Amino acid sequence: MENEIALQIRDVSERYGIDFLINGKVTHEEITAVDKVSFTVKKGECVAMLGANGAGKSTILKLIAGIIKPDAGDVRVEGRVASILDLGAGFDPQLTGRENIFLLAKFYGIAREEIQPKMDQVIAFSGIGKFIDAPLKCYSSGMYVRLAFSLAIHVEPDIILIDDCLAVGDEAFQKKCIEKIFELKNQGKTIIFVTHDAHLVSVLARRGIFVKDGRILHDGPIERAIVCYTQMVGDINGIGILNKDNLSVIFNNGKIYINWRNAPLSKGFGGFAVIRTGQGELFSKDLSWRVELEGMDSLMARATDAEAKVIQAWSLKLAEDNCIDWQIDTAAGAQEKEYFSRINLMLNERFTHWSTLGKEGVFPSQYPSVREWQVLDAQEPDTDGGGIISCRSESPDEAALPGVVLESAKKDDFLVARALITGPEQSARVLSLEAMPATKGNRFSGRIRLFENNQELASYLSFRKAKFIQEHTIQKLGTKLFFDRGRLRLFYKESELTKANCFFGALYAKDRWFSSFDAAWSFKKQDEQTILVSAYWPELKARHAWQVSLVDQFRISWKVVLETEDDLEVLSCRNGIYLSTGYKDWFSSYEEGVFPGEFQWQDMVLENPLRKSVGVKKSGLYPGVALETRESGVNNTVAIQNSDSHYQSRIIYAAAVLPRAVEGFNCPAGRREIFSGVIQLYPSAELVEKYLEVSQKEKLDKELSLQARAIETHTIQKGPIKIIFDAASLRIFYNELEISEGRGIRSVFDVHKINKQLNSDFALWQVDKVSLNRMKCVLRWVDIASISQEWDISIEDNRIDLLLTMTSYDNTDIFNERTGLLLSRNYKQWVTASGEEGEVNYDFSERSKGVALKNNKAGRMHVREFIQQGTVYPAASFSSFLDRQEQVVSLTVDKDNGLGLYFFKVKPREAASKTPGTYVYFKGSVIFKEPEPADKDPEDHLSGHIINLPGLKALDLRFDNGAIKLFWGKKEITKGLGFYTSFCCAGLWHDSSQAIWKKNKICAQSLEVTGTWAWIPVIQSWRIKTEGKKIILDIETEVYREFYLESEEVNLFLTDEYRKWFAGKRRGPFYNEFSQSDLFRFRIWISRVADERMGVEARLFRLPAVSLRPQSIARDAYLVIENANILRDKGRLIQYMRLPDREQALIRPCHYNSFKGVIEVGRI
Amino acid sequence: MYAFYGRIKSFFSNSSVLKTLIVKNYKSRYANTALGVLWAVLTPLLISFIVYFVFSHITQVSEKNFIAYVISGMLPWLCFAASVQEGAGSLTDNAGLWRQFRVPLEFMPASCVAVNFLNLALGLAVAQVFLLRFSPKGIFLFLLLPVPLALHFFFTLGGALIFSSLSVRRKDTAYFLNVFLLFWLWASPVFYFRDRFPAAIQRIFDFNIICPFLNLYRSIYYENTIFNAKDLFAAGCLAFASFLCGYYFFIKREDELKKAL
Repeated sequence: MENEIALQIRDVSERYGIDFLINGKVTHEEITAVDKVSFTVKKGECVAMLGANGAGKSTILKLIAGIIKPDAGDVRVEGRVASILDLGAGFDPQLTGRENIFLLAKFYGIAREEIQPKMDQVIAFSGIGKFIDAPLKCYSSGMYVRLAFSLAIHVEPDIILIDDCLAVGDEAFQKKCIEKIFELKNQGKTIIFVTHDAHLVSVLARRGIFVKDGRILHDGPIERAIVCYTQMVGDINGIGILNKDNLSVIFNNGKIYINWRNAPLSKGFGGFAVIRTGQGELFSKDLSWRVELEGMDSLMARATDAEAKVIQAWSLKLAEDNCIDWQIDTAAGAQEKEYFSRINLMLNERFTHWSTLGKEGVFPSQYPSVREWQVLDAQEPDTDGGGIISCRSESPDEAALPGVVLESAKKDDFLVARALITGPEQSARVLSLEAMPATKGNRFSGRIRLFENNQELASYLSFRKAKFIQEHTIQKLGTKLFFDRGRLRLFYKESELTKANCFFGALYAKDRWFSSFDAAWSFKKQDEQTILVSAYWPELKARHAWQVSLVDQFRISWKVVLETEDDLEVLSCRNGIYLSTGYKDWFSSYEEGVFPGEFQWQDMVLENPLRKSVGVKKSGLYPGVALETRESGVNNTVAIQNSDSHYQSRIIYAAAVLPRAVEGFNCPAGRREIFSGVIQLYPSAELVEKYLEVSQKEKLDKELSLQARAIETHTIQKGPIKIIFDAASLRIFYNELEISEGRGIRSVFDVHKINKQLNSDFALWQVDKVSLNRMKCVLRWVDIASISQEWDISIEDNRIDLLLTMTSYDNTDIFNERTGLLLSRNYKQWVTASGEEGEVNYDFSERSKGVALKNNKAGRMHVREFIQQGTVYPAASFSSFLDRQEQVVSLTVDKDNGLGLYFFKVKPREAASKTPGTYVYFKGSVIFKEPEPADKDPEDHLSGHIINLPGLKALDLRFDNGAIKLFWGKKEITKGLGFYTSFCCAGLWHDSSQAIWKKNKICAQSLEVTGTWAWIPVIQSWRIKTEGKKIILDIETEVYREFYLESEEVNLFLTDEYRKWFAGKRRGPFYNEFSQSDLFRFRIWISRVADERMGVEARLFRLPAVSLRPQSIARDAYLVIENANILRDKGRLIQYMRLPDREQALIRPCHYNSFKGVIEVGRI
Repeated sequence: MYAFYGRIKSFFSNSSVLKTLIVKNYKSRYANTALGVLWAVLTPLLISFIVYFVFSHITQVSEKNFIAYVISGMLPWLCFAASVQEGAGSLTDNAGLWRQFRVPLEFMPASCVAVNFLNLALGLAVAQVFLLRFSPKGIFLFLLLPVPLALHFFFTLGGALIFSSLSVRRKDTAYFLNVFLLFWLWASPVFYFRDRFPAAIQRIFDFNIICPFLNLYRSIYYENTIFNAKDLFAAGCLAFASFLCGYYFFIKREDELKKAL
C-alpha cells in the first residue's frame, strides 16, 4: 500500500445471519449490512460518515477496526487503530477508575513506562477528580463515559475510529473532546467518525461519506454529504422525490430540498412552513408525514397530529419553466384553529444578493454569532401585497447558480417578504414570506421559480415590479397616486409630493395613539380612479377604511370611515399627509407663514379657528397642496405641523375631538364617517394667492355676521335688565348701564379627587339662548370630565332668576361650593339680612379682602343704590333660596372684580361625596330694589335654646347657633358672641357662630350640638350640661381633612361691666383700655396652670362672678384674661388658647378633645 | 496449517496481554472481599476438608493419609471444572473487551483457566504446609509440581476453548456442562479409592482422561513418589491433543464467533 494511504477498503461486503422468532418459529435470514463498499482514506485525513440508523456505518467501522472480517472484499489498514465504538466496554465496575485505566492502557499497547504519565493526562482530561479512586460502580453514567472517552483519545494511535460518541458528557466536556479531536487532526492522525450532528461534521471534516442501505451514495465534499443526509434521512413514508429537467425536489417530512443540475441549493431545513396555533408556533418539519406520489413531478403530503387527524396538507408540483408550485393548507387542529404564519426557504451560502420589488441587499459573508436569525432589512418590512423575494449570486465562480424567486401565487395575499441570515450553526441564507398578523389565512399558495441566469431573473423582477406598480396606481393626467407597500404616495408630473409616512390616519383610544403606519394594511384598486385602503389595528379591533379618488387632475377626494368590531371609546382622530421638505411656505384659509428652518415637532400657530383648509404653497416643481375639510359625521379642525429631523416633513392634517358619551362608548360597534376632505393641488402660486384672497374676504364677512349673531345669540333682555354672555362672563346691564364687574356671576368649588379649585371663569361654556329673556349655559371643565354645570338664567320683571345645577357622572367629591354675584366697585354700602351693614373701600394692600360678619347666616345680601354724576346704580339684593341651615354668606372686596356677594354652601361631611346624578347647586335671584328698613330675617332660623341653671334661678343660658349667651334676668352678661370657639387658618378666624349647627340631644339641663364649619374641615360637638351653678362643657373636635391650623381658641367674652379679674389667688382691676383693631388684644394675664379658676367680678356684685376653669391644659395651651375689642364689641375675654408648634400646624384627619371644663357663675 | 502455527505462536508471544487479562480477572474476582486472594486457597481446602470429614467420619473410610488423597484429588478437579465452566462463558462475558481492544478471543477462556490454575498452585503450596511435607523428599517432589500443572493446564485449556466457542451460539452448553461435570466428578476417583470398585468399573476409570492427571498429583502428595511414567506419558499426550484440537476448533469458528458477539 502506498505510504500516504492509511486504509483501503475494496468491494467489501458483510452479511449477518439473524434468527427471527416469529410465532414460535425460528427463521434464519441473511441481512446485508454492507454491500460492495470501496473507499480509500489517506493519512491525516478526517472523514465523516453519515447515514440513517442501520445504514451500515458501524459495520464499516468494525471492518476497519478488524473486529469483524468481511464476507467479501478486502480491508487494508496501515498503522495502529484505536476504535471508540463502544464506550465503557472492558471496564470492570468492581475496580477503581485508576485500576481500570491502568489495566486497559495495557490492552491499548501502551508501554509500561508510558502508562503513568498517560494516566495522569487521562485523569486530568476526564475531570472526575477524586472519584478516580472509587470503584466504577459508584460512577454516574456521565463520569463513566467521560473516563472511557478520555482514555480512548489519549492512546494516540495512527487511526482513530469514532462511532457516534463524539459528544458525550456535558457541554464543557463536549467542547474538550472536540478540541482534542482537532488536536489529533492537527497531529496528522487519520480520523473516521460517525455522527448525526451536521454542524459538528462540517466543522471537523472536509470529506463526507454518505451511506444508505449498506451502500455509499456519496463520497466527496462534506457539504454534499450533509445535503444528502439532511435530504434523504427521515421517516421513509414522509419522503418523496420529484424530478423534471434540471430541477429535482425532495420532500422530506415537512421540508423541501431543491437541487439544480444535481447541485443542492438548499441548506439546513430547506423550505418549511410555520403555522400559528393557540399554543405557539408549529413547524412543518416537526410533524409526522405521509407522502403520496402522483407522478414524477407532483406529490401530495399530509401531516397528522397525535390523534391521526390531518392538520396540514402540502401539494408540490414541478411546473413548466423550472417552477415549483407549492400549496399549503392548514386545517382546524385538534385543539385550536391554526393559521398560516410564514414560509422559510433556507439556501446555501453560494447566494450573495437578495432583492424584493422595492429593496435590494447583500448577504453578509460572515454569519452573525447569535442563535436567532437576523433580518437583513432593518427598516419596516415591505408589505408587498403579493409577496416576492429573490436571491442570486453575483460571484463569477457561481455563474451556473440559478436565480431563485420565492413568491406568492395569489394576488390578494398580503405577505411580508424578508431576507434573513442564520447563525453560524446553520449558516444559511433565508428567504421568507410571512402573513400579516391580522390575517388569519389557512392557505398558502406560492411558487419557487428558478432562472438560468441573473439576466432572466432581473427581467422577471422588472416585469413584476411594473405589474405591481400598475396594480397599485391610479392616475389622471399628471397626478398619480401609488399605494406602495403601506404608503400612499402622491406624484405630480413624476415628482413625489409626499414623504415619509405619506397619507396617514390615527386614533387616540385606550390611552394612546394608534397610527395607520403601525397597522395591518390592505389595498384594493376599485377602478382607475379610486382606491380603497384599510388599516387595521388588531388590539382595537378597529379599522380605518379610506376611499381615495382622483376627482380630476387637481383634486383628490379622501373619505375616512372608522369601523369598529366592538364598542370603543375614541377620544380623538387625525388624518393627514406628510409632504416633502421642499415646501417652504404654508397657508391656511386666513393666514400664511413660513416653515421654520430646524426640524422639531411644532404646530404652526393658526389663530383663526374658523379655517377650513390648510396647505403648503408651490415651491419649485412642487405644486401647492391644500387639505380642505368637508362636512362629515365629526367636526374636524385642520392644522399644519413641522416634523422632527427623523421624518423631515411638512404635515397637513385634520384633527377631531370626539365627544364623550354620557353612557357607554362613543363609538359603538359599527361604521361612522370621521373625515371627509379634498386634497387640492395648486399648480401655480397665483392660484393660492387667489384662494387666500377669497378666503380672507369670506372670513371677514363671516366674522362680521358671526359677531352680530354672537351678540344676538348671547344676549337676553327684559325691561331694563339685560345680560350678555361674553367670554365666560355674564355682564349685567340695567338701563344700559353695566352694573356688574368682572365675571358678573360665577361659581367656585373644590374637587377633592383632583385636589383643585375649579370655577366658572375657566370652564368650557356652551351657551344656548332659549328665549328672548332666558338662556341656558352648560359648563364643562378640562380638568375633570365627569362633572358639568347647567345655568338657567332668566330675566323677569326687575329680577334675574338663577338656577345652577351640577351633574356628576361618578362619585366626585365636591365641596366648598359658592356662588357669587360680582357688582361694580361703585357700590359702596352693603347690608345683610340680619341687619349688619357696612361700607366698602378699596384702599387696602391685598388683592382681595373678606368682610367680617358677625352673623353669616343671612339668606340675603343687599347693596344700596349709588348715584354718581347722574348715573344711577340701582339697589340690588342677592338672595338664595337654599336651606339656610346649609349656607353662609360672605362678602369679598376684590380689586379686579369689585364687590362680591357670595353664598357659601356648608354641607354635612356625609353629603360631601356625590353619587352620580344632578342636584341643585344654587337657586336664587337678584332683585333690583332697596332693602326694607326693617328687613330683618325673623330669628326663627336661629337655633337658640335656653337652659336654666338649677343653682341659680336668675341665670339663663342660651345656645345660639354656635355661641352661648348668659343672661342674668333680662340682662345679658356676655358680650358679642359670648362663649364660642374659634380656629385660625391662613390668617383668618373661623368662629363657631359661622358654622352650621345641628341639635343632637336636648334635655332640660343639657344640650348636645354639632357644628360643621364652612371653609375649614372641622366639626365640633359640644356637650353642655348644667349642674348647680356650673355649666359643664365638653367640646370634641373632628378634623376630617388635612389643613393648617395656626391657633385654636375657646372664648368666654363678657360685658365690660366687669371691673375686676382673678386668676387663682391673684386679683386685679380691668382698665378700660381697648385696642382699636380686633387684631390686638390687651392682655392682662396669661397662665399655664390648670385647674385654676380664672374669672371676672363686677363691682358691688351687681352681676354674678363668672369664671372659666379648664379641667386640664394641653401642652401647647394657655389661659388668658384680657380686654378685647372683637367685631366692634368691647368686653372682657377669658380664653383657653392653643398655639400648635409650627411642625404641628398641619393637622391630619383626627379626633381630639378641644376643651373640657366648667363655667362657674355666682359668688366665688 | 502455517496460519494455525502462527496463531499458536502469537498466543505465546502476546503473553503480556494475557498477563494483563489474568491480573484484571484476579483483581475483579477478589475486589471488595475481606479475605481477598486467600479465598483462592481457602475454598478448595475447605471443600476438601468437608469431603474428608464426610468420608472419614460418616462413611468411615479408614485409609491412612486419606486427607492427602482427598486434597490431591479435589483441588485439581475443582480447578479443572471451574476453568471449563468459566471459560465456557468467558467470550460472552468479555465481548466488550474484545470489541474495544481487539484482544485475541482465545485469551478470554485462557485467562479464566490461567487464573484457576494459579489458584490451584497456591492451594497446593498451602497443602504442602498443611500436610507437613517438610522432608527433603517432600520438598523435592513439590518442586516437580509444575509438570502436572502445565500438562493439566493445557488439557483444561483445550476443553475451555471448545466449550467457550460452543456456548456463544448455544447457551445450552452451560447447562450441559453443569450436569456433565457432575457426572464426570463421580466417574473419577477424586475422593474415593479406585480399588474399592469391581475390576470392570476400574477399567472404565482407565479410560477416564482426567485420571492420569489425578495420578500425577497423587504421586506427589499421597504416594510420595516420583511420577509414574505411564501416567506422565498419558497426561502429556492428552494435554497436547486437547490443546491442539481445542485451539483448532476455536479458530475455525472464530469468524462466526466474532459476528455472533
